[in-house]
Amino acid sequence: MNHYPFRSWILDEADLNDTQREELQAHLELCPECAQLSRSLSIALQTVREAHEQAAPPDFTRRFMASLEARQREQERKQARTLTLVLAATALIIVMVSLYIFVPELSLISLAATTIAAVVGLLTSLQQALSFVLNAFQKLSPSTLIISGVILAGWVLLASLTLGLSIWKLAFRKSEVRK
Amino acid sequence: MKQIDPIWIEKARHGDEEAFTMLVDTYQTPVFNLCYRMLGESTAAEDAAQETFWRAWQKIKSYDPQRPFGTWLLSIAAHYCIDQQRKQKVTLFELDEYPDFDLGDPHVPNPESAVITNDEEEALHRMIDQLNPPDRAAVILKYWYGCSEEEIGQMLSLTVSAVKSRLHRARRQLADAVIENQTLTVQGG
Repeated sequence: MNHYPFRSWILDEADLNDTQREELQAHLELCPECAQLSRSLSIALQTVREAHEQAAPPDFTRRFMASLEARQREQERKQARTLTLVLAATALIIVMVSLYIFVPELSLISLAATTIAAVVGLLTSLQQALSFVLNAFQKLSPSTLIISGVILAGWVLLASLTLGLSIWKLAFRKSEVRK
Repeated sequence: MKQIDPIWIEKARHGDEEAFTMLVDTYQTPVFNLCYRMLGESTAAEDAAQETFWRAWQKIKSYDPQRPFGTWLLSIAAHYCIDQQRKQKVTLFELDEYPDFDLGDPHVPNPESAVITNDEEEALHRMIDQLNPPDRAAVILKYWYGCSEEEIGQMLSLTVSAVKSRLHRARRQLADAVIENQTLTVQGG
């Protein structure tokens, strides 16, 4: 059986004139496939139309407004980070271009090599200083180490107490000023 | 859908947070409902609705007052939900994600009607679950919000013929789902 154009009329929810409506009705009476399609679509669309609206959870607005401030702060931080990166990149480009224009004899490769050599030199010096300290520790007698440890711990304790006292005094004064 | 006095929209466009609160209060349910129907799960729907309002707040200066505000909001929500589903391919409409019914809550129906509602919801979810996200959005906007094909096209950035084609395919799938369900019921019974 030819289902054209009845299947399209059903699935497009086409606006039919009286003649077309009669033709469709006649076809549905003869064609069980199209009749089932039409019935099933009616059921499906009725189910969709009759479904109730899901209400937003309680306190939705309050939660949104609470998150709005945090989101705005985060956005400002992101913008600041982006701005800093852009400014840094711009400054770097300006420096590079200036070097290229005003010091044409300067080779960027040799500049990079010098920088790497300086970094390697610094790391080597740090390594030497560390090995000197470790050697000194190994050569010192246990009693000297203990005395040095006690003196160091005393200094750290004293410094911590002084810092703690300063912070406490500052906080105490601030709260007094507020009162 | 509820309408709001345009003065609040105008105030919100000038950065008035109190006015925007009014807009959130007025449109929270349509936006949440769209997200729920698209994503099928309350927590994801609330997150999506919150994100929709945040995006609306960010873009409100570019909002065209000639366009209905509710339609503009639903358009943001639909795009966000479609993107989310494309990204995550979340498992939708799982029954164990349905909220438990609390007899103390006046918004929740009694257990008997809750069972019926839940069955209906389950049937509905099963039907629209099989549609792809843009087709689902088109069906929701047409049959829940009564949007015309032109409006749906504007909201989903599609041509009218593309909307018609998507709705045609979606109706075919919905009808097939009903036929399949009836076949299973007959075989099971």
